Amino acid sequence: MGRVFDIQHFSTGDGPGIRTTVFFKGCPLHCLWCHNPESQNSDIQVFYTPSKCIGCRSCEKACPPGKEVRHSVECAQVCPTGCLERVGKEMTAHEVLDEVLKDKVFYDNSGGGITLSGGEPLYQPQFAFDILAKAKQEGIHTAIETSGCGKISDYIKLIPVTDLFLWDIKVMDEKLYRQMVGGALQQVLDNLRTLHNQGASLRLRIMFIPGIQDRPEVLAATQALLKELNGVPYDVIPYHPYGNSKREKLDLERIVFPVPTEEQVAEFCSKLQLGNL
Amino acid sequence: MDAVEKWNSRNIELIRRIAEVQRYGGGIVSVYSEDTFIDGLVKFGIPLEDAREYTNDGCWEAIVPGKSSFIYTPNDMLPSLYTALKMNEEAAPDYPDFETLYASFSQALENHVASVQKTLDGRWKNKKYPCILTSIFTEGCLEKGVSYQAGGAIYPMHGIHFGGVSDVANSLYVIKKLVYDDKYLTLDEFVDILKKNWEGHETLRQLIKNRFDFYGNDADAPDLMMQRVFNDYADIVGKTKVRAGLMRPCGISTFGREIDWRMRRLATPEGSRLGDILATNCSPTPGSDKKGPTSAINSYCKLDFTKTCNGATLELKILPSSVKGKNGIDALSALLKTFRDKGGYYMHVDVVDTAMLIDAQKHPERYPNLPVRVSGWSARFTTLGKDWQDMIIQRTQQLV
Repeated sequence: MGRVFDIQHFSTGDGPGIRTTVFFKGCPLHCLWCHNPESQNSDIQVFYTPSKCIGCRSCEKACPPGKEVRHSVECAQVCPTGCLERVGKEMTAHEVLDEVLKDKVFYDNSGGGITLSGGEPLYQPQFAFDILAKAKQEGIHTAIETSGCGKISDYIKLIPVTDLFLWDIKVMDEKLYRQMVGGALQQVLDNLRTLHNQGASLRLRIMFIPGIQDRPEVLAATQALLKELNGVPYDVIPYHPYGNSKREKLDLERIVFPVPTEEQVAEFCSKLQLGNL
Repeated sequence: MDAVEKWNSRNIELIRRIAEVQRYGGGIVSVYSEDTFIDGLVKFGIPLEDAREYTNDGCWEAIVPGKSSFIYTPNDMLPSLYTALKMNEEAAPDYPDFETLYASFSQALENHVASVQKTLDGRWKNKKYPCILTSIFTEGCLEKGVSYQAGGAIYPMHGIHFGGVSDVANSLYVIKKLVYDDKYLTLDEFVDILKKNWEGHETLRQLIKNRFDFYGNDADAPDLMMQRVFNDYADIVGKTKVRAGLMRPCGISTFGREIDWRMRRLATPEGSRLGDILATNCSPTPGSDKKGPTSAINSYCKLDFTKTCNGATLELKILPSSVKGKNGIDALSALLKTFRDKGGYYMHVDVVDTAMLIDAQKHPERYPNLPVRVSGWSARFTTLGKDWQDMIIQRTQQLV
C-alpha cells in the first residue's frame, strides 16, 4: 500500500516515449519552486478552488463537528463541482499496475513505460519497489524521478527494477540547497556517485532559475559535476510558476521566481556544454 | 488528399513523417486503418478485390472508386432515448428494471431506422438528370444504360448515419447506475428533473458530470455500455444491407450538426442542458474525457468498426507542448501506430492550443491562416462562424 496523488497517462516529459507517471504523495524536501506543492505533504489534503463554487452548501452539511469547513476530506467528498477536491489516496501496487497496464501497447510502440515521481518516490521505498518489480514482470520499461535524497540502501535495492533514474540537480551549492530545498546536498551527491559507479542508468535534470543556478560559483560546480560524471546525459529544466495556482488552492502563499526566457535557457545550456569540454 | 490510407505499422519512416506534419498543426493529415476499411467493406458484401481498391468519399466513408454512387442521411440517436424516457409526454416512464428500459430504447431506435430505410426505398431513381459526365466515369451506368442519379453504379450506396451515440451510451450508463443500481432516485424523478432542464438541481448535474467516468476514459463500465449501444445500432441497420436496388452501409457521424441539433436536444442524463454542444462523430462528449489521448484511443478502439463500414471517427486535440522535441514525434507516432494496431477506423489529430483558439476568436486579425480540423476537412479557423468556432474550442482536448 502507498499514498499517491495522481496517475497521469500520456506523459511525454518524464522519460522516453509515452509514459504513465505515478505521483507519490510526500517528500522530505520543500523546494520553493515545486510545481506540485500538494506532493510535499504526506497527509491527505483538500484543494479549494472558490471559482468553482455553486453555493450548494453541501460542504457545510457534511462537515464533521470540530473540523474546519472546506478543509476536511468529508467536505471534499460531497462537493459536486470539484471546488473542494480530495488530494491523495491509498492504493496497492496491484491497483497502480492495473491502471498503468492499460497503455501497454503505447509503451511498446514508443519505447515508453512507467515513471514514479511525486513528491519523492524514495519516501515510500517499499511501495516504489513493489510497483516497479511488477512492472518489470510485465515487460514495462521503468523510471524513477528522484531528488536523490533517499537512503542509499533503498536506491541500491531499486537498481535491479529501475531502467532509468531521472536525478534532480536542484542547486549545486550547500547553503542554497539547505535554504531553498531543505536537506543536505552532500548526501544527494554521494548517492549519485554511488549509483553512477554501480552502473545504474542515469539522466540528470538540472533546474534553471535565472540568478540562481547561473551564479558563477553554482555554474562552476555544476560544470565540474558534469565533467566528473563524464557522459551522463542531462536535460535543463527551466523554472515555471504554475505551481502557484496549486499553492493558492492549498491556502499557501505564492512563491515566484524570474521565469527564464528562451535566450537565457539557451545561454545556460551552452555554458553547461562549454564546461563539459 | 489529406488522409493517409495505405500505410502500415511497419513503415516507421512514413509514420514519423505523418507525425511531423500533424505536429505542425492545422489538422491537415488524418489517418485510416486500412485493414478495418477492407474488412468492413467485405463484411458488408463488397468482393475482396473491389474492397482493396477502397477510397473515401470526401470526408471518410469507404467506397469503391469508379464503381460507387454515394450520399448519406444524417440522424440523431438521442430522440430514441427521449421516446423511451417519455420526455415529450405527460406520462411518467415506468420500467421495473434497466433491461426493460433498454428494450424500449432499442425498439424506438429500430422504429427510427425502419422509417429511414423506407425513405431510402424511393431514392436514387431520378431519371430526370442524366448527369452524363459522372455516369460515364462510374462503372455500371453505361453497361446498364442507367444514369448515376437513377442508381446505375455497380455499388449504389446510401449511408445511414446516426450521431449522438456517445451521449446515448453515457446517458444510459448514468441511468443504470443512479436509478437501478444505486437507487439514488427513481426514473420518473430523474426524468422530471430533465424535463425542467435541471432547474433547481444543479448540484446533481454537477455530481454526475464530475463523478462519473464516461466513454473516452478507458473505464470498463461506460465503455461496455458504448459497445452495447454501438453493436445494437450496427445490427439494426445491418438487418437491411441492400433493398430496392440500394445499398445502405452503416456509419456514425455528426459532421458539425451537433451545432444545429443542440437547440432540439433536451437535457440528457449524462448532465447536459438544452443547448449544449454534444459529442462530435464517435468522439467522447466534450469535457467528459479527462485521461488523455491514450485513454480516448483505448475506449474508441474497443468498438468493432468492421460493423460500420461507413465509418466512425475519433477526434484528438493535443497541446503542442505535450508533443515537442524528438520525444514528441516518438509519442505522436506511437499514437498513430497503436490506433491502427487496435483496429480504429479513422482518426483526426489536431495539435493546437485551446488558449490560442480563444485568442483567435477575439483577435481574428492576428490569425488569418490558423487551420483547424473540422469534421473530415480542415478550415481556416477565423473564416468559421462563431457557433462552429465555439464547437471546436469546446471540443474535448486531451490535456496533459
